[in-house]
Amino acid sequence: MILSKGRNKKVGEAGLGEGDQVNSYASYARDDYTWKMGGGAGTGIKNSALLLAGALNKGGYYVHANVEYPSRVRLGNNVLEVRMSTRPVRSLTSRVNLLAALDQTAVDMWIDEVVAGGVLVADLSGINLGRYQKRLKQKNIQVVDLPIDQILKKAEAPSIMRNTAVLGAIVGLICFDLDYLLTSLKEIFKSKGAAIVRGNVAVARAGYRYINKNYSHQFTCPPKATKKRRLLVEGSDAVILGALRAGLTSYSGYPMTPTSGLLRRGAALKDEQEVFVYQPEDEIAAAQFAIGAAHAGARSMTATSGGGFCLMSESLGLAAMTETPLVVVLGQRPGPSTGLPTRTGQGDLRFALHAGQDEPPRVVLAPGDPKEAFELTFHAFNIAEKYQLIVIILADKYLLESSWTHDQWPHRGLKIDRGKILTRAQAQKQKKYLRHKFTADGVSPRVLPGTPGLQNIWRTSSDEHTEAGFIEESIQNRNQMMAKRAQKVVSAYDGYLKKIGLIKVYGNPKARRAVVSFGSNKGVLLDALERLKKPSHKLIMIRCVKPFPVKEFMEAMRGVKNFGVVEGNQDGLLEGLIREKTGYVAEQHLRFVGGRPLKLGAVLNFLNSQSRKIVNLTKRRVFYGR
Amino acid sequence: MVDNNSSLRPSFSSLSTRYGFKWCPGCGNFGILNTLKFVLTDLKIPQHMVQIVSDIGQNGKLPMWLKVYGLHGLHGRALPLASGIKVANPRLTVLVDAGDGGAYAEGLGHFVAACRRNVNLTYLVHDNLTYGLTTGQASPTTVLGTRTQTTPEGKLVPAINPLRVALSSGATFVARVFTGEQAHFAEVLKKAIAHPGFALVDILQPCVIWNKQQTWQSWEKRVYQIESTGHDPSDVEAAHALAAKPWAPKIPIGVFYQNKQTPPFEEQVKKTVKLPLVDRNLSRANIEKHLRLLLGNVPRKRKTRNKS
Repeated sequence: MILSKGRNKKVGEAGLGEGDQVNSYASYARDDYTWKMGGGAGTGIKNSALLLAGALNKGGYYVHANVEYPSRVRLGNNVLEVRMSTRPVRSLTSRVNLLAALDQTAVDMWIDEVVAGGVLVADLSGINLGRYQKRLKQKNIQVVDLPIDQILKKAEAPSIMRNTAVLGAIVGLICFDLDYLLTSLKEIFKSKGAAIVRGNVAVARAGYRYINKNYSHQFTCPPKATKKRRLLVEGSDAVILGALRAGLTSYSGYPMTPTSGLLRRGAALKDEQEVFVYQPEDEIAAAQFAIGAAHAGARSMTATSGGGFCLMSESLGLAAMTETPLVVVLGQRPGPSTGLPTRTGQGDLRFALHAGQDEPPRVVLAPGDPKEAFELTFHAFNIAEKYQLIVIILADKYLLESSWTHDQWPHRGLKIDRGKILTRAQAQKQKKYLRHKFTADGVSPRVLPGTPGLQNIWRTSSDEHTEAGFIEESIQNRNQMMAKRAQKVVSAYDGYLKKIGLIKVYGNPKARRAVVSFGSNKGVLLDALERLKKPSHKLIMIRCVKPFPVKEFMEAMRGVKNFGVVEGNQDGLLEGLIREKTGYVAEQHLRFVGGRPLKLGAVLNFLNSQSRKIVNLTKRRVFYGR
Repeated sequence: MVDNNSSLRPSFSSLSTRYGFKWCPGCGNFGILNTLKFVLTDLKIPQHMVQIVSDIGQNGKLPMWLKVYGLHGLHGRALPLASGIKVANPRLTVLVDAGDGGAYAEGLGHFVAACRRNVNLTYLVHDNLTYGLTTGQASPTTVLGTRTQTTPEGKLVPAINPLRVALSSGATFVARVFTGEQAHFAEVLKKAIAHPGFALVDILQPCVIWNKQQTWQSWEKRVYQIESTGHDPSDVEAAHALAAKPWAPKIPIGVFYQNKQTPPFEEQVKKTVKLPLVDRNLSRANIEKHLRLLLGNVPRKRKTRNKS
């Protein structure tokens, strides 16, 4: 599908022109409401807005929230977009019903996303809407002038509480019960003392009352939700919880967006959960610390983004060659090189599969939402130890830093499996322990360093080595060792992976058309599936890209006449992988490299089209010399 | 039935593997290996409680001939690898082997970090002023002007002074030895292993194949033990001055500096996180509290689960 012609509008942050302007679904269903709060970096936008998102969750709404922020520390424009509904919502739409703009930039950047009949909330004493008057009138957008300073003054509150005033106003405008917000404020600020709590509550009330007094009953509110207990989880929370549940005791990481959040959470939880959380001098040290800890017998992990993963390439080889368990969380973001540090992408698929000289064997898992991130992170630790493999969890900025609603959480019934670690009693019976002993499944029993008995003492090497771990260059040994290490991935599939569901299929199982993807696209694809006019498609989400689940994929593709692949990279990496492993050639291709999550409108357009052209959402005319 | 206590009292023999040697005849590494075996025997550290981690190069193969738990790792990366092991199980005595290339070129970043971090390790740098295994390229400690495979016109960049780098980075034990002075080497090594923190032992050794300038004889003539000069190892400025002396005509060897006051890194970690990590019961992890926070409501009280 070619993007519509004659669009001279600037393609701004909003992602305008990314195929989202076509109304493939009913225009603004009342039960699909998005509000957006934008302001300068460092003004607490994200936390404030998330507070309200959490309150909405408690009030029974399905909530999906995403933060977009540029790579800087102050000013710029950070924005949190919250989509709410009484039915499941798992994606973003670029159709904003309410924009709360805390500064001029927020207006400039996001005003065009506000739908006809929508609302703009701003403190007009500091914001100039002059050049937008015509647009606002044309689209019948209601402007709510919120005199924040006045409100703060009346409540005798400091200016740091400005955001809370806006939150109160938003609650009024969406006809939500203020009590939920007040409860959240009390919880969050409890540790800061009664005065701060009182202040925030007063300011929120004041903002709410201002709306009710001056703007009551002027807006179409989203429908009321019935209170229901659900989880609102950020991907990063899920990964950390999954790792902790799996018995993580050593986490070494170097800050890099979007995995710095994991390190921050780890550091906050480390004393309570008794985990060694450490930030060493660089990513190589982070990986080496993790390998060392695992070698000694601890469950360890490291996390990074593409650039840090580059640095860890050689360490992957060390882990694989010495058969040391290693869990690596790779949070993808756009490159090449520094790229778009705070945005999202899926361009490291091949890199995750192949990094490290001579193809160190590994397992690569790709969770599609926070619940899967929890579950697959848990499994990663079992797989890594049981089969003495590298397990990479392929995530991305969108998954890690956005909030998704889940009905249930799979944290019960998970069993920790450490594989063949010999106890002291068992080690005592060894005649001559061999660290890399050839076995049917390729997995050798482990004796941990510090186990007594001369017969148990072993060494290993990053060089090719014998079963006893001595450096060895002979051809036969080499061939056997290569086969042994490769066998372990096969054994991991047979003994563990195939039971956890490597491919999940959604939608009409008899559909003739399929859309295939991996990672955080799951949400928008599910949302799109539910909004198709006919059940024409099934969705095939691939949760494990290595070993590629050929059998499961072929089964999922039964009855499918043509399929498209949706992915956040330029060269169709998943598409190529599917073709390589199964022979299936995709007929349709939707690729996005703009650094923002895929939006619902673009996906619906894609699913409803029969075009075989590559839809590259950032393809524009090439300008020379300009 | 094999005797599990066989690894409690090490001997020269029990510390030896039967693997065929890969070092050149006359290599200084033999001296380092022998001294290590003597020292471990004298210190009576149970063999199974020793973990050696090595770098890449001929130095890195030492774990093949020393019967302790061994891990032959990546070039320049032995220090963070060993640090991960030590924190996970501080009961192990952790020794690290590297060459002057891995320690002072590839791994210089990790070296400075390790000096600051002060994890209780002993860093044995096999310093032969060349890259032996890769056939004779210049190393960071190769003397200015030396002609090597990669510096045919003479090395353009002056040698690094690893002792001064270590002292400036806050290392709490800095020593230099010569493989030819075995008794002295053994004494220094004992102190280094006993030192409660990061210990650098820069070991001057010959490379009979590639280094024709700094031969055994040339070292032997010039080294002198600083212990006999009344050097005070608690004086860091004196240590700097001593380390800064040019290498002619005499080369000081011995313990330049030792500070036992700074607690090792893992002792700091222990204040809030129980070590060893490897002793942890993994099923104990309790994330209920955090799920409750995410849920936003207080859930019903649950019965305590069986411990697994």
